Order: sequence, then C-alpha cells, then structure tokens
Amino acid sequence: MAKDEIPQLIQDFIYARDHRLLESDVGQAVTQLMSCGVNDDLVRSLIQNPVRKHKIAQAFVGPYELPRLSHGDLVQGIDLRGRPIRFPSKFLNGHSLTMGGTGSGKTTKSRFLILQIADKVIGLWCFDFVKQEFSVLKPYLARLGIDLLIVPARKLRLNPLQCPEHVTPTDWAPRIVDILVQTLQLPSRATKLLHTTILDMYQHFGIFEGGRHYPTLFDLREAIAADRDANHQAKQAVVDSLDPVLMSIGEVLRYRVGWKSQNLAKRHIVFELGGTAEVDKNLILNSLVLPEFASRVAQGISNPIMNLWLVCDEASRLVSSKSQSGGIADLIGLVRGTGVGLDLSIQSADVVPSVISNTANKFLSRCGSATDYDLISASMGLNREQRLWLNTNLRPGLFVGQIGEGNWRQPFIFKIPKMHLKNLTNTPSAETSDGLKDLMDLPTVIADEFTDWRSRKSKSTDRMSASTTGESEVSDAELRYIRAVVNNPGKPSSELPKLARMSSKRAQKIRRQLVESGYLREHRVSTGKRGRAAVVLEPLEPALQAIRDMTSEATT
Amino acid sequence: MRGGYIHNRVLLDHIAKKASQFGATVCREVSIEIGEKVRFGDLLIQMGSRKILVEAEMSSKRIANDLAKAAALETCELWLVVPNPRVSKSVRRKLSQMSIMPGIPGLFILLLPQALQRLEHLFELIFLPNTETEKKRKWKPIITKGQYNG
Repeated sequence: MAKDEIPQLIQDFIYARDHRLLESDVGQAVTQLMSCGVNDDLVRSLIQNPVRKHKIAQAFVGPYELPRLSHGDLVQGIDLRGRPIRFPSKFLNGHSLTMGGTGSGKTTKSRFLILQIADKVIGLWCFDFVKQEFSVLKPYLARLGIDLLIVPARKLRLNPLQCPEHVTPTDWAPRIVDILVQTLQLPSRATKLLHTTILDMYQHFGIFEGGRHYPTLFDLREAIAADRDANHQAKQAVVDSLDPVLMSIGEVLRYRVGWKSQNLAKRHIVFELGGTAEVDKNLILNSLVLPEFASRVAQGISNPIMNLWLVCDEASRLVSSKSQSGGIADLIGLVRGTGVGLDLSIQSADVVPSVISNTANKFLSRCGSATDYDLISASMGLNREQRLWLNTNLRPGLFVGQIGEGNWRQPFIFKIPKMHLKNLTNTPSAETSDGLKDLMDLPTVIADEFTDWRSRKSKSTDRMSASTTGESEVSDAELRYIRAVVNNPGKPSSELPKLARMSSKRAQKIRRQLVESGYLREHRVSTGKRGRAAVVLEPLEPALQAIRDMTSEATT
Repeated sequence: MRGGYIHNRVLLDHIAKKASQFGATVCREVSIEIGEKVRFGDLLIQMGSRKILVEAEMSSKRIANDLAKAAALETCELWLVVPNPRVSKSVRRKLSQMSIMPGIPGLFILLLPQALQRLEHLFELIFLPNTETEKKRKWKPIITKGQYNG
C-alpha cells in the first residue's frame, strides 16, 4: 500500500508509535481505542497534537532524535531544549568510550560525571597523564565528605610481578609478560625469555609454595642479564628496555610486596603520572589496572553493583590497536559484570576492535578526521544524514551519545553544562605526606638491596668520572690485564689472558668492562699470516694513569 | 711523534726492531724535501745501498704523499704498511684510481706480518758484498724523481 493511500491519522499514529509518544497511560488508552476502530475528534487530537509538537521540536535539532532519557540518578548532560538527560548510574557498568579531538570537552565531561558518581561508588581511580585535570575536584568532593587522594607517580609502591589476590602465579605470569612486552615494546622473541625467567624466579622465591615475597623487576633484569643460555638479542632487548625504567621509577618498583589493588579499589584516588616517561606511564597504568581486573575475574564475581569506576583521560595507551595482544583490551570484555566501570577517552579511532564491542555507552565529540567519525558512527549505528551532520555541527562541549543499556538506544545530542572549577585551597595539587598517610600505612615490603641499584652502563660512567677525578677504581685483575696490554703492544687480545695470568673467560669480561669504561680501545690489526684481523688493544690515558699510580704506590 | 698507538707502537716499532736485528740502519721521522716543503717519512731502512721507505697508513688518504716522498728519496722500495685487509683493499683501490697499479716492482702494500716476512726474505739474501762485482753493483731506483709528481 503506498504511503499516500494511508490516511493521515494512521500515519500520525505510526509516527507516534515509532517515536514512543504513546507510552504514557493516556497514550496506551489511545492505542487501545485506535485498535478498536475509534477515531473521533478527541482520539485524533490526542494523537496529532503530540506528533505535531514532536515534529516541530525535531526540526530544530536536526537528524537526531530528542533523547527520551529522563529517569535516573545520573545526569549525563542537557539536550538542545535545555532539559537534563538522566539515566541510572548502573548503566555505566557497561563501560563508556568517548572519542574526541583535543579541546572537544572530554575532560570536562569526565569531571562532570565524577562529581556525581564519586559518592555512589566505593572506589574511584582517575588517571592524569600530563596535565593535572582531576586534582581540581578535590575541594568539591570534600564538600560531599569524600577524601580524594592525589598520588604523584613517584610516591606509588608497586610490584608488577606481585600476583593479585585469587590469581595463581602460573596464570599471572603470562599476563604480566604480555604487559611487559607491550609497554617496553620488546620483540616477540623476548616473550618466551620473560615467561621462563619469571616462572623460574617464582620457583626460586617459593611463590608456588605460598611464599609472599615476590621478585621485583630488578630481580628480573639481573636474572636475564646473567642468563648465558638466553638468546642474545632477546636478552639485550629486555635489559636495554628495563634499565631506563628501573633508573627512572626505581623508587616505585623497589617493593617485593607493593600496594594491593584491593586496598586501592576502596579509595578515591587521582594518579598523577605527569613528569614520567611514556613507557613509565604505561607500565604504572597497566600495573595498577590489570591486577584488579584479573583478581575480579578470577573470583568469578558476577553482575554486582558498580563499586569501582576508572576514568582514563588518554586511554589510547591502554587500548591502541598498535599494542600487542593481551592486557587490558583482552580483559575489558571479561571485566564487564565484575563491578568495574571504565570511562575511556580517546582522541582517535586507533583502538582495538574488542574495546569498541565491549563498551556499551559511546560518546562522540569533535574529531580531527573522517576516519574517526566513520568508525564510531558505524558502531553507534548512525545513518547517513546523521553522519554528515557531524562534520560541520559538532563543537567543543557538544556530544553525540548512545546509551547501550535500557530501552532507549537511539543516538542523541547533548552538551555538558559549563563548570567554573578552581582550586579553593592553597595546597599544591600533589598530596603532602600527611595526606597520603593512609596509603603509606598500607603494608609493603621493600627490597633494600636495590636502593642504590644502577645499571652496568651507569657503573661505567661512575668509573669514568672517578678516573677523571684521579680516583682509581680498577680491581687487581683489571690492573694485571692493563699491564699486560701496556707491556705487550701489538699483541692480539687472545694472547693477553695468558700474559695477565687469568682465564680467557674472565679476561674477555674484563676487556669488555675496560673498553666500556674508556680504559682501552679496540683496533683490528692483522697480526698473523693467515686468518682475519685480530683485536689489538690500545691503552688510553686512564689505563696509563692507573699503571703510574700502581707504580708510585709500589715505590712508596 | 706523529701517528697513533697502532701506527707507531704496533706497525712501525715492530718493523724497526726487526730491521735493527738484521743490522740495518733505521731512521724514524726522516725529513724529505719536496720542492720547498719539508715532509717526514715514517721509517727509512738502509742496508748498504739499499733504501726502503716504510710508511704506515691507517687509511688511503695520504697515499699520494707517500709516493712523492719515495720519489724524492729515490728509494728502491716503498712499503705501505696497513693494519688490516680492509685498509689494504682501500689503498689498492686508491692506487688504481691514480693509474698506478700495485704489482709494480718497488711498491708494496703489506700487512704487518707480510712486512716482517719480507724483511726476513730481503735481508736473508743480502750479504755484505765480498766481490768486486757486487761492490760496483748499484741498485737502480724504480721510482725516479720527476717520474711521478703525485
């Protein structure tokens, strides 16, 4: 039947039904009457009046439906008519993904929700990666009786190798290996090396027998560096990647027993990770989030009320498609239904597909490229007209949203009300030690032996600086080796162990150390009639000075 | 003294020591006048009337200067002593670009062991002349002054 053959009243009735304008008691009565064939003037007006009003209102808002979300304890924003958009806060249990370019209002939206959610959850974790976006909320939450702890990165006490509660070591080892490979950008060959080394260390530390003092990343680094049978390239990659991390945030990772995620999950915390390298940020973020996720999944928790809400302003480091498999992206689907809600904000469409699939609520703001719009539009089910509207109409603070829970699934437009937040106290955003006393009192076990840890290269730097200041730091064996070099110019290095009265293995190690420290320099010189050129060592000034010092000590 | 550790202590010292053992006269840093300039040769070995100029080179950059020095001194042989085969190849390549090919009598590109071996072979054959003929025999220099001007 063609559309123009259908009476106008029926068309209006169909429109009203499609747009859910007849869900009230009156509307249901009208539906009943229509089904019975009653269409007097009253019935006609009860149908056509709301339809007319809806069409007029709809004409002002473009191709998007006026949202029909008006019940709940959470205000997402206000629609274009100025009315609040409400839904139950439990809808956030299904995770939220917000995509928008720089300055689109993602942080403002997050702050707006935090102020509402904070007193509805037991734990709240906010991650500040560069700017101190969330610490400004502290005095406002304090009015609600909520103590928001601001923790700088270097005050944390973490051990990524520490097994979370309810997770077995054999289950935890591959997960932390995936995280280390991803955050440190190691070659895939290093996966096997890390896995076997971590399991060996767990064995050595008695973790399988119930031991609670875990190996640290320092132990891991030393174990791998000392492993002679390991693939050289994998070993070197691990050591070279771990060294700068351990030197940068060693004070964070120096704990055999660090803060447990269950204890942190009962607090409202802002983790300020600015001032650390990108690798450090990724490692800290994954070391905080993954254990909590894994612990909840292992406990078999099912569909509780959301009790931990995570707000991550730059979530691309967690969910980028460039990251290898494993980690947060794998768990995000499992975490749903364990009481953890994620609020992830990203700037581009570079995201693992499983994250798109497992975030029920999606929000889109002004983006920089058509690709970003295309990806999120497809996942939100926008039609062509709605998609075209995005390019020229989105502005900072204006969002297109879609709630995945409840009965209303249509995309809608909303804006975040302006907030004028300011620091109401004079204290710097980073907590004083008094403010963090609650966290500092949590039980931890420090690995004291790594307090002054430095990598081999920095030890060599010490040796070089000591040699320039006149202090000699060479051992007796090294001195013997240097003397053999000085007294036998032009001898190939293969002949020096015998001259220095040591094994060739030890001589090789000492030679490498002395070359790295700047005592000796290697040259390739043909010393034999056949074969390749041998390594001939040249003693440099520090070596000659060490010999002179030794000689003068001997004469005195 | 010019030159680095390998240049002086490894290459030249060994050759000088060996040549001295054979009774040759060894001069380090011998001055050579080329036109108005004074250059210095690394090592001059003299045994009787036989003169050998030894130049240790770590690269092929200064080969042309070495040839000019040898021509100026009117030596019988010029040895370019290099530390390893890589530099040897580079020197040969440089000489071929200069249209003077290796293999010409009097010009040798040698590694250290080859130089020491040549010394042994050379001085093994040279005895103090004990005949009138040998006394009168003059060694004709291969590279004469003016023949190659670098």
